[in-house]
Amino acid sequence: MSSRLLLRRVWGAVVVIFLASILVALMVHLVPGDAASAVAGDNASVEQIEATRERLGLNDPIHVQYWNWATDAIRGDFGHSLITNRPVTTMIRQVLPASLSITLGASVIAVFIGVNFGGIAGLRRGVTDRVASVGSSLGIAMPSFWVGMLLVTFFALQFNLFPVLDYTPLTEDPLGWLHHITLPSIALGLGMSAEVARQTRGGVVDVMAQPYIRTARAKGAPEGRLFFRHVARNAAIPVITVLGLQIGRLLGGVIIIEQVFAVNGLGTMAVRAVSDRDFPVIQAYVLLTTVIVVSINLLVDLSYGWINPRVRRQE
Amino acid sequence: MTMSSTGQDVRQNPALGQPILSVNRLTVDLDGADVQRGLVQDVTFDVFPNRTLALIGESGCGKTMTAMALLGLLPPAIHVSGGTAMFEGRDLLTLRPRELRQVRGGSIGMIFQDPMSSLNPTMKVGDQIIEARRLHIDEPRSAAAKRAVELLDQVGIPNPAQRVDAYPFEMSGGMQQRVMIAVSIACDPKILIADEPTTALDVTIQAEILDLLATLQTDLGMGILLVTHDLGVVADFANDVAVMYAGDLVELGSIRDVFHHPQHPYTEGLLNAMPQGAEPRSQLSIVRGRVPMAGQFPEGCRFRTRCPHAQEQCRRNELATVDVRVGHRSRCLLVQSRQVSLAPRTAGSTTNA
Amino acid sequence: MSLETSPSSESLSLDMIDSGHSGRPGDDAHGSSDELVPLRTHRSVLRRLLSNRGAAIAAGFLLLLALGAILAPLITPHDPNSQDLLNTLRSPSGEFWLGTDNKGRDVLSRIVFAGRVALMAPLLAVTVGVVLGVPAGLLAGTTRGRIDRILGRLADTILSIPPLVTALAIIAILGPGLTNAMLAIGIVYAPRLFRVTRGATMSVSEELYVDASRSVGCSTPRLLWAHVLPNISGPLLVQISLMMGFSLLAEASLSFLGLGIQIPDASWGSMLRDAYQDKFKAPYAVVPPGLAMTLTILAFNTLGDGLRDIITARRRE
Repeated sequence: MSSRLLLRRVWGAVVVIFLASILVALMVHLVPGDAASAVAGDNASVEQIEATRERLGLNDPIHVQYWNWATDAIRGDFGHSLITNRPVTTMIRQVLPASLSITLGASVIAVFIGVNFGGIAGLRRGVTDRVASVGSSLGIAMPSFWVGMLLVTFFALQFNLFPVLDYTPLTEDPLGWLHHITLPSIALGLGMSAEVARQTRGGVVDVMAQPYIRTARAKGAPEGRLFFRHVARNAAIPVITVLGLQIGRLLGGVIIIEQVFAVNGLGTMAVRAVSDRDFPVIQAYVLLTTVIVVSINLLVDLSYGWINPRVRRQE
Repeated sequence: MTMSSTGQDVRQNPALGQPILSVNRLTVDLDGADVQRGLVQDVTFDVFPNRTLALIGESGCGKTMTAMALLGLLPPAIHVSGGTAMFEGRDLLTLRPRELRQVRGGSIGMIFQDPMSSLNPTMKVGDQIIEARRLHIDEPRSAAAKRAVELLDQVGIPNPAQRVDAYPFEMSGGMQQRVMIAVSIACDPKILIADEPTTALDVTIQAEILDLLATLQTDLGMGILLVTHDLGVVADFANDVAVMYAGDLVELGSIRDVFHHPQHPYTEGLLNAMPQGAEPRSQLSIVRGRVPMAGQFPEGCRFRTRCPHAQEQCRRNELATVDVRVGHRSRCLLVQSRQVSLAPRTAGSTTNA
Repeated sequence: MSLETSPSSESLSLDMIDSGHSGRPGDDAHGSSDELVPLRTHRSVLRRLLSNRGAAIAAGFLLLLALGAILAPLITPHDPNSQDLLNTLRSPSGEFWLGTDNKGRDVLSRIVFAGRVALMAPLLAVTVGVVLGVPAGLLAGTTRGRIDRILGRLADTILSIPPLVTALAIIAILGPGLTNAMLAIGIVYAPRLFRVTRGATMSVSEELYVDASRSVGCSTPRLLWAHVLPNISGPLLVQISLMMGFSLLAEASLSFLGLGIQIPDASWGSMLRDAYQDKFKAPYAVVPPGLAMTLTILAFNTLGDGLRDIITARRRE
């Protein structure tokens, strides 16, 4: 992979994260009226408001505020919760595994179901295609948390096959972990799989219409195996693109899934922080999710070069 | 000499020997009951080893459909509804999928019009040739790889050992077409079907590609079926020509015969319309009217609506393509029955670049 | 010297079976096979829309929903807010077609009334998004240069933050509530509208007729109004339709989290939350609000897809 291309992409990512950090760090200033009193609450005394103002660093000039926050953040120090006073980093570390597990599980399900169904629909066309198209439209329209609720009522209450609530860490009990993340992952992943299926089908259909597929046939290639070789690599690009685009949707969706399944994850922490206007926590959360999204998209971008030689060789 | 119902007689000059491909009354239709028949109608011709038959006609005349039908590469919603294509003792049109796959790329090679989009953009050029070989010949990959380099050399690509690892987009159009040719001859086919191989290329490259094909034909002894709309290419390269119009094969014969003594009003019209050989500042002659669209073909002779000689009897449906001279067939009823006699043409009007 | 170009062949058989054009848009040497067809006549658009069955059904559904929302007081069998604590969480019956909720209120009536929120809230979000995104996109697309780059960077940054996360951040700043939530959604979506507007503006301004107009002395604002806007309205409408669906989902999510609509008002999202709290007592109470949501989002998406098919004219291959 051309190193110039690599550097340019990475630099782009860094710039975006930097700009996002500015927005995040100075978020507090956007609060209408006086931020400190808004955060401290209606019943706060003047001293408490002043203390809050100091905590939030509002007494320093703006660029100093940003500098302090940013330098701390790079070292991994995101301050302390305004409500519980615990270090934000610790809080995040506690809740992150649960969210990551569900997000990962959802991705795996989405890719597995989406690529298979989409690929088959694109290759076979006909009835399978129509069914898949209707199915994917439905899947995209159904709110993932509603799917979660339906799964809960169906499975847990009627059949008792899967645990409904809570989360078991992987390190404690691998089987329990798997058991617990199954339903949430399905709920979250189903919607994404519909989108993936759509993109896969589109990509496959496009490729199948290409003249080089006709050439492959004219060479005597059998429809099945060798076609996989010709179609897959060329259809991969739109599929991987959609995976990258969906990561944001996943990170948002997991928030609500956690509520539905009573999982104490990143999302639950974030919602509580928003209600309490616990800005240090919110800031860390926004930055963290942004970094995740940017990193994934960077990976997707770089993978284009690996898949499509034209991108690789032209820079 | 009329055509027998089984088409067994030799349709061209008996001196040519046995054909390697014998197409008889090939008919191709659109799916659906209520569509008029005959995107390709009752087409009959032979391809001989070491000779090139050009299938010529305007856009939409069915020449590409004919070529595609032979290898079962018709687009969806279009199917063969009649006729046979005898190759090595078997009818290509009735082969089972597995047998057809063996023929494709193995004993019959095919090249297409646009080499850029006909080659897999994410696959190295060498790998595409290797694939073509290993689909039919049981040999280790290293042997196939070696042969790929040799083939690239044979088709005139410089530095073949390096170019094997190149991707199609790294090559010019002419080079890409050479690669396509290498792919198609990878297994020493008996026949090469070339669908407009030079249309997408610059004029100078066209000449090179045609030269290459001529050389390969001599080396491999292949018969070539060349589909084209370019009379210039035909005159330079082909031995025999079959003229198609609106799905009908209207005339078939050697280049000399057809170009100097056309035996069908359509062919005559085409040749007359060539700007070469016309007087400066004179009006170019045209063929009045338009080519009918599929589904709107006239009854009987499909050219009669534009033919200067047309008569009432031309409406009759079953018009046979008949030898009017030895090895020279025409579908025109009037020519067959000597009611119309077309004037011979001088050599000058068909020489061209 | 070929049959194609010789004067004799006035043929231009429309089927072009013989020319093997590549199917990929943009690669075709004869020009792109995707052309933007401007939405000139409302009637022609309407006709084409109706010919697409999915889109027509979707439009009909939304119309019905709007009608139901407007006429809600007249058509609902019960008052959506009248509580009956002795009759909570009943199953569907003749009197209560969809049963009652945790406070004994008629679910059907509540759903119909909440349909108002389901249409108005996304409309608010879309308006915010359009007001923020479209002028910026027009500006960026016509002036290019520095402003374009700055706005572009800003848009890219907002787009890098997951949508719901951005919404949460904005709610943290402004406080909870339906209006704030929709404002947040509007801000979340504005960069996408910005991008679409900018892209369409740029491609339109590269068309010859803009140069032609300029050369006759057409001023920039007039240019924008008369030429650019009508031609970008197509892609914009598609995005707006999809955005309505997205906004509805976002509103439901935020209301479910308690950060959107506040009691005593109700939306389908908050109804879901209430229903879910009693999932052990009435497990299927979650179905009606969720179903209403799904169908409406589906309608918006289908409409958007139908519009997209209409505005992109493809040359026959």
